[in-house]
Order: sequence, then C-alpha cells, then structure tokens
Amino acid sequence: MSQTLLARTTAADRGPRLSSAKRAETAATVLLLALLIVAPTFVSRSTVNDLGQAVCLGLFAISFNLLFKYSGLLSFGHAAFFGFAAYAEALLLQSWPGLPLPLLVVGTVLSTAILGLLLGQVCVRRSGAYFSMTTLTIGAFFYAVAFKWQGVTGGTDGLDSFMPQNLLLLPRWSLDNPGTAQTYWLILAILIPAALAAWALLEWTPWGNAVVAVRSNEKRAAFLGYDTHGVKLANFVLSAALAGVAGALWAIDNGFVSTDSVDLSFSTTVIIVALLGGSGWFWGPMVGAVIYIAVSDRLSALTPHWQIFLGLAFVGIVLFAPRGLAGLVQSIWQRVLTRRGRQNV
Amino acid sequence: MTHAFASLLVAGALDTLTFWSLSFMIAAGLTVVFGMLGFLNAAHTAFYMLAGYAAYAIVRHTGSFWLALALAPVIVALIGVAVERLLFTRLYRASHASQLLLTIGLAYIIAEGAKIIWGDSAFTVAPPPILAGRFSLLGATLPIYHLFIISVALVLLCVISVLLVGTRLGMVVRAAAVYPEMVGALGFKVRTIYTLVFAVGLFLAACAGVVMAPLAGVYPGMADDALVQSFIIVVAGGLGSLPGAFIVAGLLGVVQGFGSVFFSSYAIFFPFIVLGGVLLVRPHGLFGGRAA
Repeated sequence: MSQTLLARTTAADRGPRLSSAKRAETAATVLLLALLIVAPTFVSRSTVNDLGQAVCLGLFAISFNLLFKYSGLLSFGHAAFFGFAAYAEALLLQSWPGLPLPLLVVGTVLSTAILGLLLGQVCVRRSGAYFSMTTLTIGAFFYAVAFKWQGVTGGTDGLDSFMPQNLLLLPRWSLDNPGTAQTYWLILAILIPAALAAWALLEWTPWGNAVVAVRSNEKRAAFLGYDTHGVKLANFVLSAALAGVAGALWAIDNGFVSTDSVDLSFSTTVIIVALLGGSGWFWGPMVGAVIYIAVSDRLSALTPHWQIFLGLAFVGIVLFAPRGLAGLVQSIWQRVLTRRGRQNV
Repeated sequence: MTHAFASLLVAGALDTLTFWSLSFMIAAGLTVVFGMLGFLNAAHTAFYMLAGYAAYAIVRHTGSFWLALALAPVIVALIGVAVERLLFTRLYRASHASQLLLTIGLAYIIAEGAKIIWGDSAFTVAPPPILAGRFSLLGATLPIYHLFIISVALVLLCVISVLLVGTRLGMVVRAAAVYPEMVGALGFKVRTIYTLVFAVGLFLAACAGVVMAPLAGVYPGMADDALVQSFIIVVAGGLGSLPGAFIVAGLLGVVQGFGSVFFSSYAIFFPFIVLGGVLLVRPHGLFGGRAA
C-alpha cells in the first residue's frame, strides 16, 4: 500500500500522470516485445521458423487492426497489400539482386503505401458494409491478377529463389538459411521499430485521438474542423504500409511467394488472428498470431479439416468473447484490481 | 455479315441470359435480406454450395435430377431457417462487422463440413436426358440446358413477383420492409416475416446451386467464387436494392457472355471492370441512395 502511494507521488513529480490502465498496457507491451526478442534462445530451430512466420503474421494482423480498432473499418481484402508487397519485393530482387536490404524494404513499403493511397480513395468513401464488400472485391481482384499474370507472378507456382544478399551493415550475416535465429532477429530489427512507430503514433499523439474521434462520431469531428475523409484515408495508407512491411519481411523469411499470400482465405485468416488476440489492444493481434500459428500447426497435424475450427473460432469469438484474449486478460486483471482496492478500503 | 459471326452472337446472347439468371438468383436473397433486415450474410453462397452438394448426393442415390431440384432447395432453406433462428437473430441489431465475422465463420464451417462429407474433389452432375441435347439457332448449336436454366429463373421470378404484388401476404411483406414497427403494431409477426424473406432468399440461391451443378459441377471453391460475384452485384447495384442487383447481374452477364466469346482469357477480370465502372459513375451503386 505504501509502495503504491510512493510510486504515485514519484510519477506525479515526473510530469503528467499516466492512468493505471495505460501503465499496465505499456508494461505488457514491453514484456511482449522482450519475450519475442529473447525467444529464439530458448526454443528449437523449427520453433524459431514458426516464430518468424508468427511475427510477420502478427504485424499483418496489427495493420488490419489499425483500420478495425482505430477507424472502425473491417477490411476483407487486406491480403491485397500483404501479397502486393511480397510480390513487389520478389520482383525487385529479381531485377536488382544486389539491392541493399534497407533500400529494398523501403522501396517495397513505399510502393505498397502508394497502392494504399490509390485504393483508399475508393474504399474509404463509405464505411460499414460497403467498405467490407469493396475491400473484399479488391482482394479478389489482386488474387486474380496474381493467378492470371503468369509471366510476372509465376501463377500458381509463385516466385522463389530470391534472397537479399546485400545486408549493408551486417556483412557477415546471411539470410540464405531461413528459420535461423539470425533471420528472425533481422526481421525483428525492422518489424519492431515499424510497429512501435505505429503504436506511438496512434496511442500517444494527438493524431491518434483524431483518428478515434472520426471513428466515434464522424459528423462531430467534421464540425470540429477535421477533414474526416483525409484522416481515414491517412490511416488506411498507414495500414497498407504496415501490411507492406509485414509482406516484405514474410517474403524474406519464407524465400517464396505464392498466391497463398494474396488469396481471400488469407484475408479472413488475418481477421481471426486479430480478433483471437483481441482487437481492443494494439498488440493483441501479435499475441493472436503466435497462438494461431502454434494452434494451427498442432491442429493441422491432427486433422486435414482443421479449418473447421477457424469457423468455430469466428462464431465463438463473436458470440462469447468479442474482445478476444487480451480482453479476457484485461477483465480478469481489472477484477483483481478492484478486489485489491476493496481490501485496502 | 458472315454466318459465323451471327452464330457467335447467338451463343454470346444465350451465355449472357444464362449467367444473368444464375447470378441474379444467387444475389437476390443477399441484397433483399440486407435491405429488409440490415443483415449482411457472408454465408449466403455457402448455402448455395450446400444445395449443389445436396443435388449431387440426391442424384447419386436416386438417379433423378428432378427429385434433386424439388428437394435440395427446400432442405437448404430449412437448414437456413434453423440457422437464422438460432444464430442470426442475435445479431440483427449488432454492427455489420459482427454480422460479417459470424457469417464468415459459418461459411468456413459449412465449407469444411462439405469437405469432410464429400471430400476435396469436384463432381459432375449429369443433366436429365431430356435436357442433355443441343439445338441449333442461326447456325449455332447450343445446349438445351441453358434454356432450362433461363426458364427456371423466369418461372421463379414470376412466381415471386406475383406473390409479392398480387397477394395479401406479399403486401404485408412489402409493408414490413418499409415500416416494420407499424406492421408489428397492426398485429403481424414481423419476426416471422423476416424469417420467411430469409428462407425465400436462400431458396432462390439453392435453386441456382442445383441448376448450376450440371453446368459447372460441384466443387469446394464454388461458394467463394459466387460470394465475390454476388458482392460485386450487390455493391454495384446499391446495397439492398433488388432492381440494382437485377441490372448489374445483367451487365455482368453481357460482359461475361460476350466477353468470354471474344476475350476468353481475361474473363476473370470482367466483373471487377464492371464494378469499377459503376462505382466511378455512381459511388453508392446504381440504386444506392440511402446511407447503408
């Protein structure tokens, strides 16, 4: 009791006090990222490979949730951006094998962001069901392109044998062996700053408040002088860019791109990943991705029809746990806090 | 004008009408249920697929396509009603996001369930012998089965229009679409009317699933293919607008029917071009005036 009081006074002295929820959230964020970073030292190599997949899927799910949580827009075609980035990176590398990794990622992400700007003009004009259906058709369109344009995308065979050779600052490192801790850490070195930047932007700046204001009452935000269309469009572009980072890193981790990365079921997979972890917390989708990869690996070994569990998960989450795992943990945590509060009184 | 060109035109026209009939039968229920109930059912085409598989199973066990056409849509509509009563009614007042998520989950369950029962492979269903032949018109020899599909769609449309416009029940349904509270206050069970509309929508899609089976076969991905197409029709037509869906299905029929005659390798892109074109001219869809 005296300890908590002390902590409060010192926090107050440092400046504006953070709410206890915000502090708990930050602590959970730090814990999660630390766990992700040190994980390869504890687990087997095949698990490291799975972890690489999971963090890329997790960033992708975070990018989806950027629209869902902060703008209230449910995208059903988000794999279009992920897949576009993965293909774009493979094609860039096939043309310029010596392209340095940072430049490669920046180029891929920029082109995905530009794509997001173009498509966002159409999508963001309407919200609700229209948005979902428009994004679904865009996703289907990109799948059709990847499937049909065999000369460029390789059709159903996909593209392989591309790997960035020029790592610039890390001359001794190599990406030739996917699934190693080196590849994993290299991916995290790009992934974590990108995700942290988005987190900081939306959770800790006035910009984030503006995005949420437009979501909760678009008319009121417009009366306050916000360009609501512009705010939504900007968030859409940010989401596309982040999906681009995820796709680019995923392609590096896999060394292989196929139509699986743009198809519609991947767009729905990322939704279930985000909701499983909990769409109410920025990092919830990352937790969801780790769980999803772990569980789907075991289930798919058990039965070829494991996707039926995906369907059950959708139904179960919507009916019984709309806030996902993060929501469950949060409500338990709050119950503990209130009980402790009562004891103190 | 050469003879060959005329026969190409005839073939294109028949394809157009066939495609129009099928895609409108599938999309009609989706858009009407959205218009009346504000409910977006992403599992709609999963029921269409289920009807295809049911038709396959019935034809395999009894050998009768006609029995399949009579039974499968009814079975599917009944399953749909059960699902609507058990699951969907909880979400009529929820956000579109929750509705989409729940129904996408349901679509997954139906698709995987179908795979568990019938496996991953595609099946063909033979059309009844009387419809299996071809007829010739203006130098083109065309499958009779296409004419059958078109007439099924026409008959269903006529029956439903007559019911809607000419009967007391139809009047109540039309009233419930616009003033549900008032219709409820007058003592009608609005909930039952909703369920009825839902069932008729699924019945139409299921009929499409059955008549589609001899045309394109029954396969695991047919629900997804039809879902994208129906979404395009519903969005371009204006969410909830039946005339809009009818016109866009016709537009898609034209590009699909004639386009695949002349530029067959790009046929997969036509629906997207139509959607893009319509949304450029009318961002809310052809008949989508109201906020949705």
